[in-house]
Amino acid sequence: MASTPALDHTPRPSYAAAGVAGLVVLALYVLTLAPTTAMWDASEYITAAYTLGIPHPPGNPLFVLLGRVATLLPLGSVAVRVNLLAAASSAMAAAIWFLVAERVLAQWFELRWPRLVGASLAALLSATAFTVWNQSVVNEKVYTVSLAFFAIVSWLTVLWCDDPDGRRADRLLVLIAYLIGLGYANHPAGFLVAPAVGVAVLARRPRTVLRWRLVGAALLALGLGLTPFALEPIRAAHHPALNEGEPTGCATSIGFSCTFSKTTAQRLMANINRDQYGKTDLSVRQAPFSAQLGMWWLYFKWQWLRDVHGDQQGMQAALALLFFALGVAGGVVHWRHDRASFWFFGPLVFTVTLVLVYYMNFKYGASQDPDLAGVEREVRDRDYFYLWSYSAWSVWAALGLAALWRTLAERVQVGSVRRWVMSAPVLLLGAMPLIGNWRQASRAGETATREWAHDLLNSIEPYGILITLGDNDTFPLWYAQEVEGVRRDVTVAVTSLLNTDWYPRGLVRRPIEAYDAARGPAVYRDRTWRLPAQPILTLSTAQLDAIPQYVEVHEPQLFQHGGIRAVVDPRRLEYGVPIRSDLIVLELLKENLGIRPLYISRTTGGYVQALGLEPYALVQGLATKIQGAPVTSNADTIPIPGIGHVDLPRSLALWKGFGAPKAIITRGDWVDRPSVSIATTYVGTALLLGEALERRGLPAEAERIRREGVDVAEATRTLDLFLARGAAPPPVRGDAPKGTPIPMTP
Amino acid sequence: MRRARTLYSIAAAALVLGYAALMRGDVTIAPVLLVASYVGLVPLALLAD
Repeated sequence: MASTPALDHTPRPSYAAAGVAGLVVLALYVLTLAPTTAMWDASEYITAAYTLGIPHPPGNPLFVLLGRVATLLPLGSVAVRVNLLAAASSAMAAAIWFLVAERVLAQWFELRWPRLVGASLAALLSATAFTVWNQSVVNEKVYTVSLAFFAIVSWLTVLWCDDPDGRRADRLLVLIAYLIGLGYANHPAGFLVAPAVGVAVLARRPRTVLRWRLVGAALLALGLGLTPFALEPIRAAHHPALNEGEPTGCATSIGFSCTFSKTTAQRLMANINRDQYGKTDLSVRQAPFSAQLGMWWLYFKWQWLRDVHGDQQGMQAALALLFFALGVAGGVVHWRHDRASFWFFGPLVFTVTLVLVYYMNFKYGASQDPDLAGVEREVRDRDYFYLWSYSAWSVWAALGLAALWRTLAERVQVGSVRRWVMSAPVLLLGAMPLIGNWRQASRAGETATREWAHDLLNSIEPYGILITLGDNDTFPLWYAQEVEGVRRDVTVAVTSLLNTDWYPRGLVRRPIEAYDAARGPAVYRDRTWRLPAQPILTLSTAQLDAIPQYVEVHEPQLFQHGGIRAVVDPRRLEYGVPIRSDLIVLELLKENLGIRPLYISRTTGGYVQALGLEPYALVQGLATKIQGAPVTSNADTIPIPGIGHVDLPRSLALWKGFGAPKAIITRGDWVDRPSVSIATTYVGTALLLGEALERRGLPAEAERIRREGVDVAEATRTLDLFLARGAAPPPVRGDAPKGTPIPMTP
Repeated sequence: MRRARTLYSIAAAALVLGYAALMRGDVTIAPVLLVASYVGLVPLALLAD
């Protein structure tokens, strides 16, 4: 590695070149942008932005504001506009990393053009690291906006470090404090940049922290940056479609006394502090710290080559080691050649890597050590929490690669320019993530989630109630209903949120719109559907709130209403006793029998059976309708042991209209493995219909529909799962809270 | 200093009007005003001479 003395000047930053780099990255993201929503929180955030609603705690008010403004721009669909916000945020971060890298290189690269090449490498690597890229082409989280804040604060801190006694130095510090507060209003991770700013200030001008007027001004600015949280109680009082945590004391409409009330303050603080998720004790590790570091390393390997199915493990490991070594080398050259900015950037990398791994205290990763049995796992891969870590590491990896280039160039005995050119092929290493991640990171043409939402909603008869389980069988439906206006007559009730106090209240408050037969599937056009007069629950708010978190019964209980006599066996329920959500589901069934059809999504696994409702279960498409009396077998309703009955004509008609199977097969893969159960729901449904057709004496039809299911299984590489399991799809796992307290099985 | 005062005034006005519109249930002008103030006007004011 070269060890040239530091130059005694810092050239003017190449803002124009950085802008071009940012635009190139943005073009890449636009090329690979999702045309609609995606799994997990994408639908929730698009819906929150569109309705100016409140997403899950802490509510992300700044993101909601930015997202809402994005939805007002005349650029494609609503989903595309919000996805573009993520793309633009990451592209801005890449442009700023360009400036940071150029600045470091300026201290020991005499020629400008190699500095620009090195800076471009930083932009390229940070933009194409898998998680950054994958999260930038669909707005699944608010973390790309956080990344932009990190980068802006980084650059401002670097500018301050350059001239801590300058004319604008104090203003820069106050602005940095404001942006940290504003970043927190986007996501609490916004504070992660603060320790690095503190270290940089202490390293460059320690007496700054004793300047009380400046410190006071910075604290005031920080407070101003936090004020977007005022959005939450104001919007919550208007009861938007998405109103998670319901941070308001206003029951019907906004008013002065209910807004400035103790209830509002308590609920708002509960949202900001994420009380819904419970407190974590960092001294109690959810997995060994070594395993938590192992999770970071697993996702680190993904960044340079996302090998979803383990087909190129050797190459992936080699690239991970290479980029780790380049990052370490980059950190060393950063330390040696630009100490001023290192005092910020080094602590930043440390904070968003080691400190974050410790603080997040994750269980084993969903994809980590798959052969390790008997350990608790996260329901999904959490690589997105380390997006900032991998993005910052990419800057160091680029510096390391630039240092390698320079070392090689110094060994070539030719002219000063030619030696750089002759050594340039080594820079192709920087293109490896771009090439290796393209197929997996790109979400271009991905429409399966949107189709899934339409398919599931259309499986429900007009004005029906649909019971779902978690994120992926719920959030896409929220998106379809609230953003696209699809099947707003259906009430979606997700069991994981029924355990909270606010969600059932919101469900009862939600207006039911008239069914639009022209936009609905043809199977419902054979009759007129009347809008029910009564709400889905007639319980008062006080009665709803009084439903207990659980009932301490362990023996089978009889649920009897109308023609239903169901034996609910608590031992078959997830927690061994009936919990609040189970009680509300049964209440929904009781109050709506003969008024509204109640469906349980087929993504809920054995929930129908756990509630003792199998004799009343009639599968229609992707959901199971609960009938008011035991289903009788005939030519159209085919009994399937362990499932109930299958409504064959209805299910076949729905199947023909489903859009997701084609979308999944066209994509040819399912990158996010923890959500693959959505795809396998189609496979299970096809196999189930095949079995029903077989029993009906239609083997050719059975074979045809099974083949369609197998095509989905092959496209998502899940065939083995079904060869072992049979027709029942695995339940969808969710990330939503269960409410507190929930007893465990005694 | 005068430029800074002007920017602070405009930023504060945008915030007040934005939150007032938000309280009335507006979901179009309010977010535009608030975003303009939070991410544009306030940072400019903080940096202004």
